[in-house]
Amino acid sequence: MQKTVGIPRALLYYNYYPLWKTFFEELGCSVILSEKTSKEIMNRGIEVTVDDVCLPIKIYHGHIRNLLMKDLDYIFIPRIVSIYKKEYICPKFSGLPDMIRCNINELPTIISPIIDWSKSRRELTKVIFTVGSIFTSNPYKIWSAYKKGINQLKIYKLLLKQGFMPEDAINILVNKKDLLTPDFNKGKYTVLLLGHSYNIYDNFINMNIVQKLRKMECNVITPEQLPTEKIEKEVEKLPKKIFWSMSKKLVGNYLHYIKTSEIQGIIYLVSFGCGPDSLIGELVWKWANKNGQLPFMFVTLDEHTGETGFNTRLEAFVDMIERRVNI
Amino acid sequence: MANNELYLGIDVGSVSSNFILMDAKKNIIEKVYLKTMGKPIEVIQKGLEIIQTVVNGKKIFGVGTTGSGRLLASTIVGADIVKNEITAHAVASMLINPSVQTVIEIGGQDSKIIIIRNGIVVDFAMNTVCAAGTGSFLDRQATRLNIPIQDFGKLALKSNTKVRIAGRCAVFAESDMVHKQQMGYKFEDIIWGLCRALVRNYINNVAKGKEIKEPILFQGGVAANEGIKAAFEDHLNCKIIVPKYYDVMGAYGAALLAREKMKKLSLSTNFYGFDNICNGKYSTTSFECNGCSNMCEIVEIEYDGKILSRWGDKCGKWSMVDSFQKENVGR
Repeated sequence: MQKTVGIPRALLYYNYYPLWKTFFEELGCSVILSEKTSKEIMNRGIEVTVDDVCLPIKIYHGHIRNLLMKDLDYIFIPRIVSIYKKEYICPKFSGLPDMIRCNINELPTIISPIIDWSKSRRELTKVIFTVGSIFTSNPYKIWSAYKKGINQLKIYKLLLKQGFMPEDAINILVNKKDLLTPDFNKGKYTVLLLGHSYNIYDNFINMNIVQKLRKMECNVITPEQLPTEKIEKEVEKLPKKIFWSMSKKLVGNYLHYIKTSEIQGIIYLVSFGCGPDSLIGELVWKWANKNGQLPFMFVTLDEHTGETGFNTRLEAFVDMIERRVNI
Repeated sequence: MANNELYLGIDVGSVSSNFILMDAKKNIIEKVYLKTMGKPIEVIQKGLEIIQTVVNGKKIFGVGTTGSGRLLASTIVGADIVKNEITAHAVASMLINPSVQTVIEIGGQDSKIIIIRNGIVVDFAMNTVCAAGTGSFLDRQATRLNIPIQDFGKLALKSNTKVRIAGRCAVFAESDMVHKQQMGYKFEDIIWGLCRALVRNYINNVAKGKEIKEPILFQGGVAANEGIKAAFEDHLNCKIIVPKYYDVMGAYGAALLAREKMKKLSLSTNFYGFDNICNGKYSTTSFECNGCSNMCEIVEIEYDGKILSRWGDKCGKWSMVDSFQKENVGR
């Protein structure tokens, strides 16, 4: 019988879903995704988590609980410690499977490979085969599933680079739609939207910021659109290596775009209580203040659903750009 | 004809709702400052009733709304422009003082800083997670100490000792004040200490890292508090200007923006008219939509039994009614 694997639509879903989905499907599984983030999912997450963790982690818990309502054999919660050499991601990601085990009862079998490339990628093959052998003993099948997954991920990243939002890009991939040319970059102004992928792409968490900006005639550039080489080129000049991969991407983006005339403003979305952002956000903000050439705004997100305060800031920000540009 | 033109600005905030009537030459003819008391619709009706008495046969050419209740206000009165408070305040400040470089605005629940250079807003910030230092906190302390809020500032000015009150958080500030009272510190010294703590909080949180340059305008309800004004002057070591219409600057800005828009596009106003608004029966209901897992909280506004507007949904299922709102309501 076909095995089912549940994947929560949260956190690194936005970065790796096409790889995960293809890999499991190629191994004969059926992949079940949790529903889009909603108030119900958030509430179910908040119910089981401690107060101090950030909203994205709470919402991740909600997605896991949403998946539990479905008939699952496995649930995929990778333990991601490091993706690049001598770099790490937020420690909450490496503790994620443990957090879920402690906070949520009656879980199906958790598939949680340890992804730690901080020293080398030697373990990569081992991880692929450990996970793959749950479903098949044929090593060729496992390797080919991985290769196909990586291929899908490459296409996905290309779509993001063109400015497609993850949900649209996944839609194009899954439904094998033709590659349409993006029709959304027709606004008068362009705003660089900085923030972690699970904040800037989850329309519930970010109160639909991308749509709202587009409606106000702003094009939106996200960190996923800048090629890695360009990010690396910028951060190399810093006196000290930034060892948080995700933060490094944001800093690289800032340093790149600030030199171009492509953007008229920068909005930085932060989750209340985010550890890495409390340092990196501060750093970027200090540079932006010193530079003073471009409007820069921090928006702190948490579990409130009242949108007035958020809209006020957004509208005022676009007004500011508008009046600046039109002088 | 030009002499007949009037513009209405409405600022519905968390604590107060303000109304101004402006003539074609941008002079304020009437201002009304009312407490919102959590009943925005009634307050809007009451405010307009007062305004109506000075209209004197002239005509409303444009209406602008602002403040956290701007959407509601716009629905009730039929506004021509709905603007955020930052832009509204900035526009009004620049009219009052064209060379203004910094605007400090402290209202009921919000505090903001607006940085203006060469007549354009170049930066702004609002309080993020903390409402310490805003009007509602001061109101609460005044009530607790049993002094009318009007006397709060004057009392602070009497102090000549600097008592330090914790300013990071409203809860800390309150407990610190209680302790100082129990220890026998003088009343006015504690209040002066509180004013300074709130200013410190503002400078460290809201105005964090911003370059505060003169001229500085201080507006919003809290600008009435001479203690806070003095504490700002003490801290920044420069002069703070409190404009004459400090408490209705948002509404003033909304009226100015309405005028600008109507002139530029030569439109005729959407305003429903004083009689329609003041005599109309508005009612609101809210409910949680069960259509999907978003469980949006929907608000429905009725006017004389007809649905005027709905909002709060993510999908547009309920707010669609907006599109035929205009046909439903008599002008």
